[in-house]
Amino acid sequence: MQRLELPAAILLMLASCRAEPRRVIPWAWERREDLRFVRGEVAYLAQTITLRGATIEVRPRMQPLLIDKSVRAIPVIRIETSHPSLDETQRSAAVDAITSLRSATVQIDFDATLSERRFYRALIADLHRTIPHVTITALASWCSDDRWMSGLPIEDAIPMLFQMGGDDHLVRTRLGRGEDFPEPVCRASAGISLDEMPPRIPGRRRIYVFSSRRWSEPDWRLATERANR
Amino acid sequence: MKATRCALLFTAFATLIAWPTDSCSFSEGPAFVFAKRPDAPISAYVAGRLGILMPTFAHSHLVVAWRYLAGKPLSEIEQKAVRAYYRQRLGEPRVTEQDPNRDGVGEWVAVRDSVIASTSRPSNYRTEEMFFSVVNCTDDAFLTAAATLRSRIAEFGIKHPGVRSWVEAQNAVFSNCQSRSTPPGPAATSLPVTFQHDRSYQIAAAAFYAAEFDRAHDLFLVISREKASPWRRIARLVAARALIRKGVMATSTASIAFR
Repeated sequence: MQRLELPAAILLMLASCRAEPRRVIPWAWERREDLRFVRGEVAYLAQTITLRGATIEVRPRMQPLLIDKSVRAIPVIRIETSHPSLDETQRSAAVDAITSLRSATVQIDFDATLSERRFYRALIADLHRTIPHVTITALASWCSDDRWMSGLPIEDAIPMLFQMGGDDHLVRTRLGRGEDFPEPVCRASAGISLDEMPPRIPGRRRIYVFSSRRWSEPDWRLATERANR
Repeated sequence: MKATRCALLFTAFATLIAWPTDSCSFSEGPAFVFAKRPDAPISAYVAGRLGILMPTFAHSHLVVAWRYLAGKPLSEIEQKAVRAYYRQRLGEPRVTEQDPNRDGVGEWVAVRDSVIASTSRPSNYRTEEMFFSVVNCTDDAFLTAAATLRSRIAEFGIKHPGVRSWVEAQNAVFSNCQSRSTPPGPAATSLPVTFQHDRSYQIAAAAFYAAEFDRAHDLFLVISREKASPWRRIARLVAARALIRKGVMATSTASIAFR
């Protein structure tokens, strides 16, 4: 009997060593989506804020999203700019618009340029006063060499590992070598797209997946498979 | 000599290891025509000087070309509207004096606050189930309210009780934009007849925004038969709109969305 116990214990140990599947979260963008086949979480575009001149335009999601009742929906707020004034009034209006979603968790998607970062930093600080869980999407460069996010009251910065443009080669090479992002806040998640083979993603990460077309069950299976490569 | 040889070697080495890269330009080849849009100035295209048409143009450009090629040129008003649309598409700053997309809510709030200051700001959108919104109160509704209020202030004076009552009623109307809310009550009989007519329209409008389309339809039809009402013409149109919106909304969102 004892002879059987040792191999069984080893087998159990090996089984426990098997990597847990990653949490995969689809991004549901501005199109009609039926994601009732997804369990866990869904991040959906809830609002697009355009900072235009001194004004702010707030456009809510205009397309329905179907999800299972058990699923946690994370609102994503996309921020765009067109010659913005980036003053306090504009920031306050943006904060009001985002807090009007009445969610304890928000994800901000804003590809802030260098001159917009001071505004973005202040916006996140303001949001954090009323919204406990703030996450943001991040250009891969923000997580690598262009680090400006330190000290931001965010839980997670999701490096967008697709459409990386000029950074693509560098990021893929570094991740391929087994390196991780130098920026610690970028080490909890990663964003990939169904349109591109993702780079090697280190360690345990939540994986957000973008699809440029309406989600389907086969696409979701593909996304889950790629995220766990 | 050694230094020259080193420099040459270094140059050769640097040339060999140089990584090929693209410039910041987004195109890899020469571009002689735009694929998605006509050449600038866009106003010439809108006026009928179409230039070289490409089948790859965005539909918003092709439709303009189609109008001219079909012998149905755009009117001045249509050209103006198209130019404004293109400006918006191209992300150009708004030109307030010619912009058909004025900030209706902002204009309404500014005039309203001159009578009764309030921090509330109505919304164009009503939030539905399934995480999405629909445009319930258009900018035009807010602009009409602002213009009507200005007119009533000019006629009766800002201190007139009818004006104050009008604003309270209109606030109640617009509170139905985001979600169903309390409609305005009937106007006091002591108020001038203009306010009585206005109130009938406000009550019907509140029913419309609260998605009580049958009731709104009936109320607007009643107004359309009142010869003395300044709202009789538009009421007939809005009665029809109530039926249309009822038809659109009755088709369940799920079946529209996921068929």
